[in-house]
Amino acid sequence: MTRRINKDVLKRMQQLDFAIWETALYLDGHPENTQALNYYKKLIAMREDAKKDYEANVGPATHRDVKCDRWTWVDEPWPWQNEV
Amino acid sequence: MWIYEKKLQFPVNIKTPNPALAKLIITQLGGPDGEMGASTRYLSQRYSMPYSEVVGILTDVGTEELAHQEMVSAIVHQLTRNLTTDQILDGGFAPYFVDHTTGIYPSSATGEPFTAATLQSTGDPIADLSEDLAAEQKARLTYDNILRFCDDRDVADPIRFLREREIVHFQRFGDGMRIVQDALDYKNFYAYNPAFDKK
Repeated sequence: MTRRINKDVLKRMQQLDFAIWETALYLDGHPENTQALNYYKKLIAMREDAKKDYEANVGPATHRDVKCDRWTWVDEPWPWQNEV
Repeated sequence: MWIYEKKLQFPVNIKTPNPALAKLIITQLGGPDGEMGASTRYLSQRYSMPYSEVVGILTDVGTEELAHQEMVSAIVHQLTRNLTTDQILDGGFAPYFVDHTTGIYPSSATGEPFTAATLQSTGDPIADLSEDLAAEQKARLTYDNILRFCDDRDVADPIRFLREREIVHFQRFGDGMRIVQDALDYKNFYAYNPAFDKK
């Protein structure tokens, strides 16, 4: 099955996830930095808020996020399948 | 993209070092039928696979193989902890040791470094899945051969788990092959390549 994905919602999650990733990478080398840790936690909270919107408009990010009564994990598009 | 989970898929708790066995088991990390080749093969084949269910199988099996690299590495690591130079020499581990000490380096049992030359991504769904089915059987028999040398349960248990996963993956790729063939001309599966030819 093919799903129409909302590119703005996708981009928002990519931005959030990149910020989370970048902060985690920094924290690996600076685990005592409370300012960075608080920023990380703030981003995680923002991600939690954005997750429902993401799943409704893009689809499950991992197969653990499938909530339908149908296995939507294998719905297209896969990330490399852009419209041409 | 991928996110790392900080746990092994199946526990590895080895108490007794055995460098001779480590030298055999490393082949399932970087050898011709090892887990690194398996994940590289399946994750590379996804892009030319036209059937979404089969992309799902390649993605999820390929991801599990990444977890198996970690398990095999953990086994080799625990088998080579706290070695004396005598143990290194007696276990035939010295040639590996001079190059890598007790670091984990993806190579075969005979010492060849990991190479993508032992895997294929053909851009043809039937050929790719036939290779995948064979790859699972080759990995299964390699684990069977490793088990001939495992008298330590701490090693044999996770190796048996990994062996069992090869059999399950073989079944799942069988599902994938059926999905591909069902989508093709039943009179001639090879009439055209659904990943390349326009039909």
